[in-house]
Amino acid sequence: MNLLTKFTKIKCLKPQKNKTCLYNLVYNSVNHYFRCKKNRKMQIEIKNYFWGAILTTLLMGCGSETKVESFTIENINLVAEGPLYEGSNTAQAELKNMLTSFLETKKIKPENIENITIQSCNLTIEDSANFNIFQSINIQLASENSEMQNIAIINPIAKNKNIQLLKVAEKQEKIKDILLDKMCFVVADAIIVADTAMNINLNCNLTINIKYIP
Amino acid sequence: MKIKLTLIVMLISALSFTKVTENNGDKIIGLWEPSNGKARVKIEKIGTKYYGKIVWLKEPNDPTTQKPKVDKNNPDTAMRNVPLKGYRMLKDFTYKEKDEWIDGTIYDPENGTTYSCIITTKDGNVLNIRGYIGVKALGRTDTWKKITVK
Repeated sequence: MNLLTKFTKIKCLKPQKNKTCLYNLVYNSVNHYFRCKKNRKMQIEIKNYFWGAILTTLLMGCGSETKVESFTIENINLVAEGPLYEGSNTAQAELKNMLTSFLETKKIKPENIENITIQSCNLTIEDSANFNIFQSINIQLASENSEMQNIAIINPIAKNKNIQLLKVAEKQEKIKDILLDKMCFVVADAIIVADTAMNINLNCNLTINIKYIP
Repeated sequence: MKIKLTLIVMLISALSFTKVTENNGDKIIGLWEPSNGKARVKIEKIGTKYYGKIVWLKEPNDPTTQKPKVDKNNPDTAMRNVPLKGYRMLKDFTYKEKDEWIDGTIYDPENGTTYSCIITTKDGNVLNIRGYIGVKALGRTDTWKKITVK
């Protein structure tokens, strides 16, 4: 006698007037299942339906659609006060809650964001000649609650141009954490080829892709 | 009256303690040289965390290309053109207490590996930089000396 047959013989699983509807519902379901036992084909069919339903639910859960919104953080003013010396110099900017208004406009909840990646990064300077004092510029993002990330590099600088397009990092695991922090820093490490008394005033434009579940 | 006075004294001491803690943390800001003397690293503060970048290299040029050294071992191929001069090899250190800076990382450009790292100092003139993987016991400590710019 197998376990299933034993189970059907448990007396307490009979409909009882003084029991709740739920009890009777369970009774009917179990009873129906074991009656089907007599018909092996039907039993297999029910099992197949059962697993099919589970699989469909899982697939629907995993395959929920995501959307991507692009957003450009414009004119991040990176400043380093002169005099500046030949070699490595740092210009930085502080950004507070910069994504908040965009996310609110697009009705994106931060908890629904899967990831954020940098799509492109460019730098502008008012006087194009000023780019000539740079050899390279490396842009990084940092925040209080996340690790600093290299996001883009230009080396060497294209001379006599007033816009520089940077090469964007392939590994961008922490960008979401940094940009969703209350405050973050954009840090530019620039190699300067000669001493200068002037300030560095760079404008950085960052285009990001926000992947989220609507 | 006594309670008021006690509260004021407590507030003043709390504020002064915070100030002292901040100042102690800033002790590592400056120019440092690792024991191998191959580079000099400038440690600075961004926000509340400390970062160190290479500002001087004993051999600034790559012997094969004769061009300024770049981070050719970076696991991210897109970032292999970042110059080593100016590279931030110490990142994200927060001051704990008792001259200890924790939760940071140190990057070794010679093999492109990033290690967990803690920094300690006894007198502010020498830093003990301990890089490790996983547990602190499995690591190596290097001694960096402070460079005074005249």
